[in-house]
Amino acid sequence: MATLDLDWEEVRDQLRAWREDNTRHSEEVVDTWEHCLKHYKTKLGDERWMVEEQVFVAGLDCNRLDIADPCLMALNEQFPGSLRVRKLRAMRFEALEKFDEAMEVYDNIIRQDETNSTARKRKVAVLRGQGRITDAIKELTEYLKLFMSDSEAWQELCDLYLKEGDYSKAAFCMEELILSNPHNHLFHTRYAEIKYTQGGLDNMEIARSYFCQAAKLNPGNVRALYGLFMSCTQVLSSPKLSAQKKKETQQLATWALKEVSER
Amino acid sequence: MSADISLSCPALAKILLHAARYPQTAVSGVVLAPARSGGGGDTGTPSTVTLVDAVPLFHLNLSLAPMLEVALTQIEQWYKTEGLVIAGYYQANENIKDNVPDFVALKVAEKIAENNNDACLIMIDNSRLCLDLVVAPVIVSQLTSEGKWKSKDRSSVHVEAGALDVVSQLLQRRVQHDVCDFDNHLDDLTCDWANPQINKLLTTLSAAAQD
Repeated sequence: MATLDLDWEEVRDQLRAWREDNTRHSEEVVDTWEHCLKHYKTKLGDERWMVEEQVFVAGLDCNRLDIADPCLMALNEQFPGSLRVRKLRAMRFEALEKFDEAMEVYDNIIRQDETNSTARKRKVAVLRGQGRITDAIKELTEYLKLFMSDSEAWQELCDLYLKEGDYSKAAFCMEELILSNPHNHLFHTRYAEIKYTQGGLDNMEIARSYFCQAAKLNPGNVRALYGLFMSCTQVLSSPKLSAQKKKETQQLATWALKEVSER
Repeated sequence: MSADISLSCPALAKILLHAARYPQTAVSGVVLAPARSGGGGDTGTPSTVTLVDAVPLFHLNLSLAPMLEVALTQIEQWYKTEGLVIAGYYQANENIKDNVPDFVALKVAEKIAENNNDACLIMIDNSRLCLDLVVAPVIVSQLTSEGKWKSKDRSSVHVEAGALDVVSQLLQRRVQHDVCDFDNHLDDLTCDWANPQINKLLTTLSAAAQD
């Protein structure tokens, strides 16, 4: 395997970068740990515990309990009684599809610490994992009443509403996100896509303006450019448009298409 | 409408590799078949629809319309020159035990069926996807005359000979990380959703298997 030639320090840096970006690379984490970093874990210093946690979660994701369990044992030994480690134990139950046991542990954590947001969010994840989307939505809405500035939670709620086909509630979630993150072109794009999907002239015009804003915030956003072109085309097909608006919209559409072809 | 369906190696490979690349989300895409010459083909003799290729579409927000419309238009235009049309839609649901078409799958498949009588709706049977495929982990449905999607018997869904072995090999070698879908293309225009590199790899593997 190529990973055997990797310098353990490079692996450590790579894992750190993935932790900071909060991106999912479970297979690679497990591979590089197994074939390289595991043998140097004592050299990691304080960082070791974050790496063990990262490897544990990656191990669960890849169904490699042989990798995950030793990490959990090490963490438990180092941090006995820790709520963070208890959450990991509950995640292990989730991986084994022992959802009731997992829920019990999370409820326990919340009883001990009412401000613990991660346990509450894991409960939503358990419900989603069981396919109980409406229950997950209910749980998440309750969560957001307490932690209303949690962007990650609003995004998840939007996702859940989209799964149910409830476009208007999904749009509401995106509105919340845009309010707190007005410069995020991705939120503008997603909102515009939802409005487009809802259809109708009013929604189409809203979609067009949000695609426009997204393209302004990031001219490289291809989805925004395509979306702008599509929404303009849809608006143009409406019979209620004045001649001047027609001309403006047509110009916008042509510009958008040109931008895409230049990339 | 009661035609048999035949899945070629490239079609099956791309569908399963796409699903394997994103185990944590739902994925969707379309399948392609040669254009029928001379109308809807209701000559009375049920022929086989061969799905020769597939184009992976999305792994994010399958239910949003604008990018789907862009994708379908581009795919139609691109493959017209090769005499292929969009002949169906495939989807793998997020949950491993869930292989029932949701409202998105039904809607898109219906849209495709408006232009193609033989359109099929392929749901990936997530729990049957593995590294050593014995049976094609797909459930293929077609529209009945009442406008309902009915899943076909295993006997009327054929898979190209040797395809299961080839795809198993690809999964074991983790080739799924090289598959590009339309979402990847939108993030990076240099990614080619036609995945010519996969087609090439398959030709090489099939040739090797015949030696």
